[in-house]
Order: sequence, then C-alpha cells, then structure tokens
Amino acid sequence: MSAATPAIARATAILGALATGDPMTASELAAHLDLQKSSVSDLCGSLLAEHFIRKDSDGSFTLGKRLEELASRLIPDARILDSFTNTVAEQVELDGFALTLEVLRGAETLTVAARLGSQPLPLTPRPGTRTPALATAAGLAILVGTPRPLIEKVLSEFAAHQAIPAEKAEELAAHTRNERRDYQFLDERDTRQIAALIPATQAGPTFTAVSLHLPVYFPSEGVESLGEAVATYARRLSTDLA
Amino acid sequence: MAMNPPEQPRVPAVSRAAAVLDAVSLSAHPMSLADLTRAVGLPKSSVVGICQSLVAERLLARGSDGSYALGPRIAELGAAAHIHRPLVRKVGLTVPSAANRFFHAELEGVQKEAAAMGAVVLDDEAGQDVQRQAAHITAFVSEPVDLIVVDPVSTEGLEEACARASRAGIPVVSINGATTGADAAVTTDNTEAGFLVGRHIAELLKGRGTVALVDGTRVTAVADRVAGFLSALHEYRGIHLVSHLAGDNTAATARKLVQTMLESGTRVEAFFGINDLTALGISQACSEAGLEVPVVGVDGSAPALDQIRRGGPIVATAAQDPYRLARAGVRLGVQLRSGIQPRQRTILLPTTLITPGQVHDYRSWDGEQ
Repeated sequence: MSAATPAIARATAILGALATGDPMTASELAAHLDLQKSSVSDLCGSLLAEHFIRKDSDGSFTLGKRLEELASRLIPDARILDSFTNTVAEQVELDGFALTLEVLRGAETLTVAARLGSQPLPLTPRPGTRTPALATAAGLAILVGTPRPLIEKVLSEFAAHQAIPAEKAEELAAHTRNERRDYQFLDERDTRQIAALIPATQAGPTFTAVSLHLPVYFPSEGVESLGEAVATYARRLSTDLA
Repeated sequence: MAMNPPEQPRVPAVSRAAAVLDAVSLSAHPMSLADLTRAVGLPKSSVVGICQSLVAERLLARGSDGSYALGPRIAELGAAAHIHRPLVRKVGLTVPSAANRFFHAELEGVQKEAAAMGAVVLDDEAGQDVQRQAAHITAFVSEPVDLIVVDPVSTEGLEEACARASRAGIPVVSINGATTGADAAVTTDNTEAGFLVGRHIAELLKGRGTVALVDGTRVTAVADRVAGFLSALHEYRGIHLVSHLAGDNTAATARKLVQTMLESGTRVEAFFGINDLTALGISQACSEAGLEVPVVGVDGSAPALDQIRRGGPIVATAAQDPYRLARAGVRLGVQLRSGIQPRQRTILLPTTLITPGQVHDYRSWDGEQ
C-alpha cells in the first residue's frame, strides 16, 4: 500500500500527540514529532480550520470538537455519550469502578468511551477496542434486550464488511429474547463484566450498553447489587434524555 | 471584540480527509468506494489515496468487501478529546434588566472570563420579573449550558428553576446578591458598603442631623446595605433617621417618593439611596425642590461620579466592581462544575467609597473615560 497522502499521517501524529492531554504549541509539536516547524504550522492551520484541534489563548493546541462529533456518530443516540461522561461521577454505588460505553456494530461490540476506576483490572478497557459480541457482557446485554428483527438489521448492514458467516449471524440473532432482564454478568477468565442495555430513546433503539469491569479482587456476593446499580444507571442514561 | 482572521488552510489533504470521515460517519452502514466518491465529490483517485492513508492511521476501517467504516482510532481520539475538553463550554447569564449599565458590565465581565477558557455565553435580561428569570434558567438547562450565572431579581422565586439545574448537574452561581437555591454566591460586601455610606453621611453632618433612606427591592444585597447603613448611624447619637421609604431600585420611583415626602414638610439634611439610580432620583427631586443636601448611593456609576465631580447633589458612592463580581462568579462556577467543593460558598468582595477626593483616580465600569 503506497503512502498516498503523507500529510494525513503527519496530521494524525499531531492528533495523537495532543491526545495525551498536554496542550502544545506548534514549536513544541514540531520538536516532539521531529517535523519542520513550518510544516507543523501549516498542518495545525488546516486541522484548526476543520475543528480537529482548537487553539487556546496562549497559542497552544488541544483536541477539538470535530473528533468528538465523529466519535459520537458511532452510536445511534450521540447524547448518550455526553451523559455517560458527565454523569458517572454522580453515581455513588458505581464510584471507583471502571465503566465503559459499548455499541453493537455488526457482530462486534466497539468501546466508545471508558471511565477507569481505582482498582486493578485483569485488562484495561479502552475506547476503540472491538470484541466479538458474545465475548462481552455488553454484547450479551444488547443482544438479549433488543428485538430480533433489529439485531438482524445491524448484522446484515455489516455482514459484507465484517464477512459474518450466516451461521454466526444466526447464533447471534438466536440470543435475542427481548428480555426485560436487568443486567448480564459475564464471568470468564480475564473478563468479569456486568453490563446493562440502555433502553430506547426518542432516537430509537440504542444498541448501546454500559459495562462495569470488575476488579481483580471482587467478592461474588457483591455482583447482584452492583448489577442493579448498573441497570439503574443505564435506565437513567436513557430517561435523562427525555 | 476584534477577531483574528481565520488561518488559511494550507494542507488540502486535511480538509479532504475530514470530508471523507464525515461522509462515512454519517452513513448508517459501511460505504463502498463508489458511494464515498459520490458523497464527497472528489476524483476517485484522490479518494483512494485519502482512504489508504486513513486506513493506515486506523481512522477508517476497510472491510472484507472493500467497504469503509469509521476506524477504532476515531473512538480513541474522540474519547481523548472528550476527557480533555474544558468542563465549561457554554455559560448562561441572566441579569435583572437591560436598563442598568451595571448589568451590561457584568455581561462583559462574564464574556471576557468565558472567552479566556474558550466558552461562549448565552445571556438574557428579565425586565425585573423573577418569573422571566426562572424561565431563563429553565431554558439554559434545556440548552444545556455547563454553568449558570444569575444576578437575581429577587432572593426568592428561583428555587424551582435552580433545582432543575441541580438535577441536570449544572451549577448555579448567584452574583451581586444571593438567591435561594443557588449553589454559591459572589456578592459585594453590601453590609460594608452600607456601613461606609452611613459613616460618611454622619461625618458630613458632623454627627448631628436628620437623614432619610430610600430602600429597594427585597433582595439580600439591598437588605445588607440598609443594615450596614443603620448600624453605622447607630454609632452617632445626634443622627436621626426621619424617613425610611420603600423604593424599587429605580430613579423614577425614588424621585416620586422623595417629592411626596418633601411636600409633606419632612426636613431632611442627607439622603442614602440604596443604589446610584435611586440616588439619582433623590438628587432630581431635591434639585427640583431647591433643596441642597448631600445624597449618597452605591454602585460607582457614571452619572453618580459626574455629580461627585461637579459638587453634588450626589457627593459619594460606594463603588462595586461588576467585572470582578462576574469574574469571581465564573471561576467559582468552574470549580463547582469540576466537582471541587469551594471552602466558601459565598464570596464577599470589598467596595470603595468614592468621594470628591478619589473620583479623579477612579476608573468606572460605566463606560467613562
């Protein structure tokens, strides 16, 4: 594959550098990425014009709203993403736990947001992670809680892109029971997750779930009450938008 | 405020990549190269090159059938942008009325502080109607803004609107006076302002004489000024408060009240108006009646300063700083929004008494030179 547009690689490197959170000026970025200052200035001007980055009053750059906009289109109701990031702190029972927001895309779940907790986890969840739907509590919660025709539609939209075999699609669709079960608990090696589907909003079914990632040491008897808390939170994410 | 001209984009590949990412993100399903080329309106060869680079950077994902969907890097960068974005991007400000330049100065102060952190301000004025102000707060909650700053019409009547903001996790900071239901307040030390005025009047009268007070609306700010004023007078046995009139913070009402009082034959040797507008109304009524007595207000507005310079009837005003109120209010709000519990939920800012001696050095908020 030829590097057809090297400017895109450099522009992405700038975004990656700013993703660490420290605002940087064009000179700092040039030094950090070992690029020409003039080239970085031009790239920053273009990234700024497209709102991929924004410029603070002191001339330093941080990531901009365009990236949030693009990411928010990964889930059917973008407002859930905002609510998730803004309200988690207020859920006392969930305080300190690692939480993720995951959406069903074809036969996979995609992590679109993560709030890391205070305790060590078997695996650190991170945005951008794609996992087979049946290997996550979020995937199970979405499949079990959504009517079969809707799941079939998502599977068919991604069937060719993800090369989903017919038998796999059938296996996934067979999980749909449109159950009103509050939460799903997945207890496997390296994966101890509790997830709840976010109920449909005015925008329609969400195909999105909140998932709590249990720390390495967590007593089984605590799962049920935590599950209820996750389910309550998932419902709140939906009703808060009404 | 002058804006810098937008920087000229020099790297067209960035805006083309943005167009491709937009088209893919807005599609309900993965897009074929043909659909994508049509959607962005660029030559196919150019779209192929951009897509290759975007796939290499994981900003796009290329499927088994060659179709494109958003890549995992979008979720990573979007989440990073979300985490690092400023907590306050939109501030709602509601002030009691548009008639008082003090509130314009508050708006300017809030705008300046907001601009420094890259936030925008939505503002409205309530025409002295507390229900309208409650409606502003409700509208700010639905917007939603990240922080609400209110210069309250009254200490009561905003409780429900504030509770709504609280449920939505939006802090409400009251400036220039407290109001029930707000999370925090920044006010001028109004008790001190009233006290400074009372002591100044007593000194002007050399400790002997009759004084009238024109009060204002039912807000803590006004009540504190009156209390401070009365406690100062209390220290002078020869000073007598002969009239305590219920005004409404406007010049017109103050003028009418003082006219009626003077017609009734009450003899007054000095006046306190709870704000400069009230003092102006008093000043007018006195001039019309040919009465030459000192009048003192609170605010530090241009017309009051003008009279102080020219020798009266207004001879002093306890100046408040609306910019500082606004700045402190926004900062307190940002702390609350960040989950920081400020040590003081009410911040009191000091006032300065402006007399003919200080008036030349004082820079007013009221659009003066």
